[in-house]
Amino acid sequence: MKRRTFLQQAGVLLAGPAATAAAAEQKPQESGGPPTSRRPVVLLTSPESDLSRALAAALGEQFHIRTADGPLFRDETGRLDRMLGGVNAVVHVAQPAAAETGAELLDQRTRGTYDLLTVAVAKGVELFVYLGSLDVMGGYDPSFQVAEDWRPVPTSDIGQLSHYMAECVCREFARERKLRAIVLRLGAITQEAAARGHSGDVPRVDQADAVQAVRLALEAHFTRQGAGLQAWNVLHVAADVPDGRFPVTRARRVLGYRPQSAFPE
Amino acid sequence: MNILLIGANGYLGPHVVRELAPHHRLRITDIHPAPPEIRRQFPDHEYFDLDVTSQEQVMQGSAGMDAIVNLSVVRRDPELAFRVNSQGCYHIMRAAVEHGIRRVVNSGPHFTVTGPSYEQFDFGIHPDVPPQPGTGLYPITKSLGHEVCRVFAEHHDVYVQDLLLNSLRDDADLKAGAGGVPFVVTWSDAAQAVRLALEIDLERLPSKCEAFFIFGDLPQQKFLNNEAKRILGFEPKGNVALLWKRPGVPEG
Repeated sequence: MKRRTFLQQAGVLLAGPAATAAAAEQKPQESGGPPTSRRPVVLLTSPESDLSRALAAALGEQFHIRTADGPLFRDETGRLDRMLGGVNAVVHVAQPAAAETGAELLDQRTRGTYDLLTVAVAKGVELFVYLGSLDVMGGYDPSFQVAEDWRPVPTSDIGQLSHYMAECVCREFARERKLRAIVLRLGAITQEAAARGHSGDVPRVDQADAVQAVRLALEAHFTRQGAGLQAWNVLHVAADVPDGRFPVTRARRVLGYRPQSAFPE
Repeated sequence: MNILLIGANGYLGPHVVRELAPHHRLRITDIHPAPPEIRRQFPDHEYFDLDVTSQEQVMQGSAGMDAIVNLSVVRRDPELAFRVNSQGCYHIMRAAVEHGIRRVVNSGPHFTVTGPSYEQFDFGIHPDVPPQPGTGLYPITKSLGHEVCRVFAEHHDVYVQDLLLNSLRDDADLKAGAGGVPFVVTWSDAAQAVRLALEIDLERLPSKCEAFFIFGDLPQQKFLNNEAKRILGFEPKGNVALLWKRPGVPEG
């Protein structure tokens, strides 16, 4: 079955003529060589973050990477429209560098995500990957094994609350079948070597494994015809700890996620 | 009770002031000045400017208060809708926690929780459902504000009541056959609901974050207002059902 047919049957709207036309518009910073018709165009946000840089480096061979600097708000200049013209997927890293206060972080993760999604839909973007945090599930008693179908329980801490609210925004766009949304709730990103001996309540994930999960999410949509994916998808991405608090069973099943690093809880 | 009213000088605010002023000490705030007739009628209450998008102003305005009533709203501006409807709730809840204020009354439209995915399909809709506001700017920003309130209520000693309203009418506008959205309430009945939310014993609330549908008695059974009646003691007076009566047909 062709991807377009599959996604139409799944109820996910696809890039249409608008996306083709938009591809001719001016593009922001790009890497990975010239775009070809075979390589989907992926917009990466928060390019100044370590994770976004690692993603750009790792995904450049399979995808045409475009990066989005600065606050992602709609404005009179049409900057977001230009940024998203011709884009097939957005990976929203959501680690804004400019957020100096809690209110700014909240604004960038809520309004920024909403504006990004709104323009993405208008431009025919098919897939929106939001990189959230497993912190929003950290409120459950540590004796439980917590899966994706458990209710998020963020505290009023602005970091958790803003991630949770961004998830809510993504969910409404997916609910209306405006595009496919995948939330990857990441453990605390860490480098394996630096983390050895570290203990704490926060589930962790090696940066390379987080990158792996994003790559697999893009591949599942673009090269596996969305097999196993719905319009709305939430997946926990952490180290694979035997009997750990946050099993990665669903990411393993849906994406084929195989974390290479393990951190004991 | 000392009550901070935020967004008090819009359409609903003056009705709320009239309802509360005889019983409570009000701090009446907005980014717009209070209507002259309100100032003349209730000169003994406090009036000053307060912008809900400013954490500092909300924090200062909340000092010494026993309750906060949030009537602020922005419907169309793509930036201010987030700053007022979503962040505004964050500022209010932080101020409530900081000042030990245990009672917050928030407000919004019914599609804060029950958006098109409910309204276009279902009947007997009540407010205790997982929020599905949809992607419209006004509903989703109000829904995010509601979620902020809920999360704070879960983690702090604050009770939130979210009064969900939609079509507000003067009694004089209630004419047979006029029809409309089946979620109608008169201004005075809406103000009554705010007063009841301020006066209810917090321990009688089923949870620390309650949403109530506030509308008059309607024939459609599309939405249900029974929890507002049962828990708050809401008794709508406006004959809003008249809007769907056949003109010229006598009652009975």
